[in-house]
Order: sequence, then structure tokens, then C-alpha cells
Amino acid sequence: MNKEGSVRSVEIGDTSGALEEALTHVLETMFFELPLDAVSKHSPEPGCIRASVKIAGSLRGRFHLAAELRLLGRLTQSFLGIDEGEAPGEDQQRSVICELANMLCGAALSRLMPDACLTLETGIENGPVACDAAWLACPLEQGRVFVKIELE
Amino acid sequence: MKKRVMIVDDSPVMRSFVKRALAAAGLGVETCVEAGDGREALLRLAVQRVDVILTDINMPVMDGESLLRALRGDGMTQSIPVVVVSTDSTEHRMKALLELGAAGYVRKPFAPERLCEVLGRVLPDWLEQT
Repeated sequence: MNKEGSVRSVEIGDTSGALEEALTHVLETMFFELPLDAVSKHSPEPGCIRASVKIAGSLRGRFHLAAELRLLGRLTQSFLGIDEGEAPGEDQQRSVICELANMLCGAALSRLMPDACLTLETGIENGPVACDAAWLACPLEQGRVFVKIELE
Repeated sequence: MKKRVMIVDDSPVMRSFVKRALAAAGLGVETCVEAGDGREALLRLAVQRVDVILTDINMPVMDGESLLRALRGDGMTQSIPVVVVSTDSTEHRMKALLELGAAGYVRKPFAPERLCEVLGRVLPDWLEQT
């Protein structure tokens, strides 16, 4: 925790490698998707579906995930084995982005702090996006996912 | 030999993924019982026998650790192998769950091959006869 005890965005240099590794590992293993390029600093565009993970325990903070709508549909199809011609339901897409957020957060934290004792609580995020330089964008074939981690 | 499997996870989409992963790994499933938390799992186990339980850890109502304790404390369920499938992959957490009686641990994310490897170790006849 910082001296003021307030939430801050971890410096990207501290975490971007862990987030990028987590993105590649989770997307390839569970969604059969590979990033087209390295991550870059970019905030989510309006219209993205978002989820966040509250981190508690020996470390506290929040992980944020946003996905472009078309891409989220594709990820949902891959994860659930839905045919390409069949549109996934909104509930399915919300559940899948929450699962993706949970796995990405867990995978990134296990790389950053392997011995931390943590609990993760995931949910859909609404309201305006806090655009800042801590967001990382990862390009995939059908759109981008955006990730950010804030630790106390 | 096909097995009777219980999948315990509060996320329906993750339960669906695990079922697909079992099929992709070539592990035959006779019946698949699903539960959204540990309490629901115990209620279902009162009326339905299974050969193996795959459970998440972080769940509402009753988490995976409490479920494991309850299963091990009941003569009717104490011999059912439990494999933990979770994002929580810290060494001390895994060690604690194995000491409680978990038969194996699969970290999310996982490929079907990893699930097959762990379940093949827990139930060798499953792997040999499917």
C-alpha cells in the first residue's frame, strides 16, 4: 500500500509484462485466440462491455477489463463452442467477460505476486470509463481487449 | 468406462467449458451433475452418486474449501475424489486443499490435456478404458 493508503494505478512498467503474458496464456488456452501484436497503451472506446475484479486479501485493488462488442461475441462462441452462425446471448456474453476478467486477473497476479493470499470478486462494470495511461490494449482478429490493474 | 461427474462452479459458462474440456480430452461421461455452490452440491449428492467431483474454490453460499471439509467429514462422500479447478493457484492454497483431501488441482486457465492428465492420475481406469 502507498503511504497515503489510496488507490493508484501501478506503473505500467511494473505490470505490463505480466498482463501481456496473462493475456496471451488465457486467450490461447481457453479461447483459442492469439494476439496479433504486442499490447499498447490505449483506453477503451465507448461501447465496450466491461467487467472488473475486486482484489482483497494480502493485496487490495481492482482489475479492469473491457472488450469490443464484436470480439466479445467471438470469444463467447469460442468459449462455449457456439457455432459461428449462432449469436450468443447477452447473459452468456456477460458471464464470459466475467470469467475472462477473473482468469486474466488471477494469471497476472500469480506472475506478479505468486505467494499473495487473495480473494477475487468479479462483476460487470457500468458507467463511464476512466480513461488514463494505465490501460493496455491487446489486438485480436475481431477487435481489442483492454486491461488495467490498480493496486493499493 | 464412462464416469459420473459432478461439476461445482457458480459460473454456468465455466461449467459448460469444463464439460466440453472433458469431451475434448476423450474422457467419457455417463452423467454430469452440475451445482452452483457447495451447498447445492451436497444436496444433489444426497440423491445422486458420482465418481468424481470437480469444484471451484471461490463461490457464494458455500465455497470449495467448505465443500471439501463437508465431503471428507461424511462417510457417504469421503471416498469420492475431489479435483479443484480454480484461478486461485498460490502454493499455500494448493497445499492446504491437498492436505484437506483434494485429489488434484487444475489451475485456470487450463487446456483439456491438463484436465486429462490430472483426472487420469486420480482415476486411472477412466483414462485406460475410454
